[in-house]
Amino acid sequence: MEEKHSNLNLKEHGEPAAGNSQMPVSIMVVLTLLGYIGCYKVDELNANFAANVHAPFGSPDEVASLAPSEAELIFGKGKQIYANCQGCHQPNGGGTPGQIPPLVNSSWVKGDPKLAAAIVLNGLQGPIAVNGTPYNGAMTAVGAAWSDEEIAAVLTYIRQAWGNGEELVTADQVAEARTMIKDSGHQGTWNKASLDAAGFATPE
Amino acid sequence: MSEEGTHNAPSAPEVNPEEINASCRGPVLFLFMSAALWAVQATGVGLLGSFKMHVPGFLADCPFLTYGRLQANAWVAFLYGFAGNAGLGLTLWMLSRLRGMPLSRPGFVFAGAFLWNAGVTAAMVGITMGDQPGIAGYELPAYASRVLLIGQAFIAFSAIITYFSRRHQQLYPSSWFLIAALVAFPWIVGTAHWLLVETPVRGAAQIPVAHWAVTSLQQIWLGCIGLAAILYFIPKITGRELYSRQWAAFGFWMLLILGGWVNLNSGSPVPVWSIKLSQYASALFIFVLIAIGWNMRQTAKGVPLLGSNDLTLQCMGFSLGAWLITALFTFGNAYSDWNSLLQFTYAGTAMRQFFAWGFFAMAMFGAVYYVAPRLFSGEVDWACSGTYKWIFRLTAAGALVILLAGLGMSYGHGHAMQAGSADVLKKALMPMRIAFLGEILFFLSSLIFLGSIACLFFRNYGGDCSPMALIRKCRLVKTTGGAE
Amino acid sequence: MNKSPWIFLGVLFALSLSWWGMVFGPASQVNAAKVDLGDGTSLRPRSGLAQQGEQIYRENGCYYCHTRTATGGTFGYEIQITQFGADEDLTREIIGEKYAAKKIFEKAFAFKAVAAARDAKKAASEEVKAEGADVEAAEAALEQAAEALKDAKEAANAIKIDETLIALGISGVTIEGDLAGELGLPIEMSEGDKAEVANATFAVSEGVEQWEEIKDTVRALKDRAGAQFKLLPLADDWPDVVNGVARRQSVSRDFLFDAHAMPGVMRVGPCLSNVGARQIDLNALYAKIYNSQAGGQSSHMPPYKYLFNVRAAEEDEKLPANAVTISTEDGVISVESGFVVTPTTKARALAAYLQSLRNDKGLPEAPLPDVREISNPKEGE
Repeated sequence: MEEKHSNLNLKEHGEPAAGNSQMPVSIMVVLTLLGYIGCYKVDELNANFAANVHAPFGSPDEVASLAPSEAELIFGKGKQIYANCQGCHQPNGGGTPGQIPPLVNSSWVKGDPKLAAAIVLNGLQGPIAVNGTPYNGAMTAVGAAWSDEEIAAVLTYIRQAWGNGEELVTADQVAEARTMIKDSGHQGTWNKASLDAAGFATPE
Repeated sequence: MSEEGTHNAPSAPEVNPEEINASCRGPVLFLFMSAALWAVQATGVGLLGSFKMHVPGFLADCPFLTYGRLQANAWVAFLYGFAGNAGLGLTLWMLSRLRGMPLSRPGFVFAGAFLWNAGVTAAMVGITMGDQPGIAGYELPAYASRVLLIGQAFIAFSAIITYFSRRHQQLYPSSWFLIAALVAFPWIVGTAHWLLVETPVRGAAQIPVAHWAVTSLQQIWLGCIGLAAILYFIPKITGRELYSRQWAAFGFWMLLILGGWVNLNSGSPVPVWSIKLSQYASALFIFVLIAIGWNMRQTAKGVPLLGSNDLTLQCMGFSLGAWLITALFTFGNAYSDWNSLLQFTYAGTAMRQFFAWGFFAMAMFGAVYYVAPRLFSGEVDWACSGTYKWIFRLTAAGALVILLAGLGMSYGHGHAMQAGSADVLKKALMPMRIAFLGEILFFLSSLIFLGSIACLFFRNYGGDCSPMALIRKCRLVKTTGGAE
Repeated sequence: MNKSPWIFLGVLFALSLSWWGMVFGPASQVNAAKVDLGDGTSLRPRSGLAQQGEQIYRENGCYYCHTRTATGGTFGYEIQITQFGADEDLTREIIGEKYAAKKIFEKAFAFKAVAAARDAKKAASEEVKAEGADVEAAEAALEQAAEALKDAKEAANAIKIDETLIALGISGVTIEGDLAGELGLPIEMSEGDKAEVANATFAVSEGVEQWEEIKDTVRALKDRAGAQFKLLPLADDWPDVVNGVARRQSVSRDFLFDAHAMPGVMRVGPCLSNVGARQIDLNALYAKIYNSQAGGQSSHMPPYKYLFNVRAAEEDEKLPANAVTISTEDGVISVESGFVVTPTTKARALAAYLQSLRNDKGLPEAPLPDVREISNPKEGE
């Protein structure tokens, strides 16, 4: 090889080859062992590959326990639906004196949830008395198109909010109310007498 | 594979190496020259951006020169401009040499190289105009990645044809790494292109996908090319054989399997299982480190790589050391206390810079030092190997500055962040300000690299390129349009 | 003999492993992610200006220096029982087994005794005043009642639940709402008594226990006793929450609708995961973007003046309402003295995007942890 004004030796060794030294068995044993321990660790810490578990939480169980309880969720959902009601009954459930009856501490609300469900489903008009105060207004059938779950949620909300502190309402109870209405053959808006006749005992 | 290794002595090449060199000359030198130009661009733009860490108001009134855009530009210029060009060039030469065959279809390489460089240019223009996908480490606009993919396909076509026109019975380990890099690039960039830019997946899914793409580009694409060079040149220059094919195979497959998993920060907003798997992969990365480290140590036993007379060997030694350090850092990320301390500090970026310059660029500088004069059939040589030596020195010093700033100073930043102390901003800036020094050194070494390659061309056409002659001919060089 | 193709296949296979795990797996998981939060509300994509702002944030590369990644930390759980459920005795037993919280009940019953003694004393004193009563006997009874009340109070005070339980390092049970009534605590407790009960329960609510330690209790409360309770994480060494960077950790659903998710890499500047809740004053946000050093503030963020319209102020011109201002000792002045600076659409979009970044609302998978004085060990360091 000719070298011109060069300070490098361009002569070179042949292309390199790879030797045959074997990997020690001990390395393979250690690798297998560590791999196994690692798999075991990952198995323990992978949170079942759940999409909703983020550090620092460690398991789907834990995250499920952290989430708001069903009762809280139903209450929250009811609060959203109550937006349809608060125009008349007011955000604080106080109603309008002399025109719209209050929901706070009302025996109509705190009594049998089926009664409240029936009113939400079909509306109510004519004279009634709430906690001794007479009212004579008209409520439309706001919940006619709502599902059982939605009616149960809004009823849960009005029965628990503002210190009413009643038990939650289930969708089954609403379904029961629907059956009672169907059985009674009643159609259209309720009044106090027709409610009583259909088996929904109204308070005095 | 391992059973095949029956030759203990280095086998003589079947085709005259000079013939192979000649076949590579045009395409590979073109790629090397482009790489040198982009290296200057990358470091220069990076310096402009980093200067804002000292003077925030610097160039602030120009929307095209925000820190974010300059950083993106610098990384694109480095990754695709410098690393891509140099890596592809070296891939072609090494595959030809290892297969003992002249380079097939050099025309495809030229076409691919033009497209490739057009793609990088398009990306840089796009980013400057504000068109980046918002991922640190993958900044390609859709049109640029398309062009890059096509360009790479052209070059890979030539490389793979060469690869299959085999003469040797045995595949030297470096060729596995090179083939892996050729296959990995379209896979990684294709995935990122389709799932992050072209038709992005839902935002929450982009985070792991982007991490995979960025990590794979670094660990697998750059890692494979750089390691191929180290595995090739150290035995080649020392005239020994690689200690063990089996160890190399082990390191290779582990790297490919683990490369895309590692280094996910423990505080990333992804489900906990992704983080745990990533930590597992980072822990297993120690085996890649051992495999490569042990293999090279046994190969170069008794040879002081850094203290060697051979500049390529010195570069490869430093590069190997840098790779081992980054691999160790990756291993450290398996330990979540360590990772959660450093995760949002400069440390991660510093390790990326250290990997880019200390490991990859260093390997390329060493390889180019060896390859480029041979491409001229020994007719010309580096003007003065003393000048080239400065590339090694400056790059090494810069990489060490960044490593020390990144690890040492970021430790304080991490603590300040956890304690919520008032001087957290100062602590955040400190490592980056020191790293600026390293970036200046990279800029200088890129300039020398560009100058050296230009000189090589110059001398090939009869010029005298000794420093004194250069000074004398300074005026001439200027009038002929710069150092190109 | 020709093994070259096998390298190809092997490489493809090896790459596919991490691809399945880090790309395909998460992507399909996120595709199935729900948008509703269970309480009737659901996550919504950004709209209008805020959506455009994401693009401004992206094209200027803000994500290089800012993260949106509030992280988790260490914490302990507090169990807050809100309803005893159908089987009260079982609930008590479960709590008792695990927490030795019976002390709380002992204390509660001691208070009940105090109240009874007070009622008796009250009755006795009325007896004394009553007409035609046996004054001597009544006074003796009153004295006795007073003595009994004193004893009862002493007995109640002797039950030091807080110290005992804290010393044991045991998490307690907070008594909320009507639970006091259910326990039979007198409704007419004096303010002091109430405070004591309240303090007693709060003092034991240290919440140092990990999930592994309480999970059996939680399951038993839920499945066997049917009690209603809340699990509240109490931040201990949870830097981002304790330092006020964010209210909770960032989770993947925070990024669900981002066109381009930009969690960021480095906190050169502050983490922005909750910036919308922290900096609600638009003007302050504009001033920060325009020139974060304005008014001598310590910051190293480059100014982004090109996102604003700047014109020279006329003499004695009153600043328009949309001018960006800062407050100094001389009052409210323009952010650039002598000039009127108003935001462009880009600046308004960027600000709207920043305001949309908040994590101060709990998600089902990431409730807001509570930070209490007692649970911050760093204090005083």
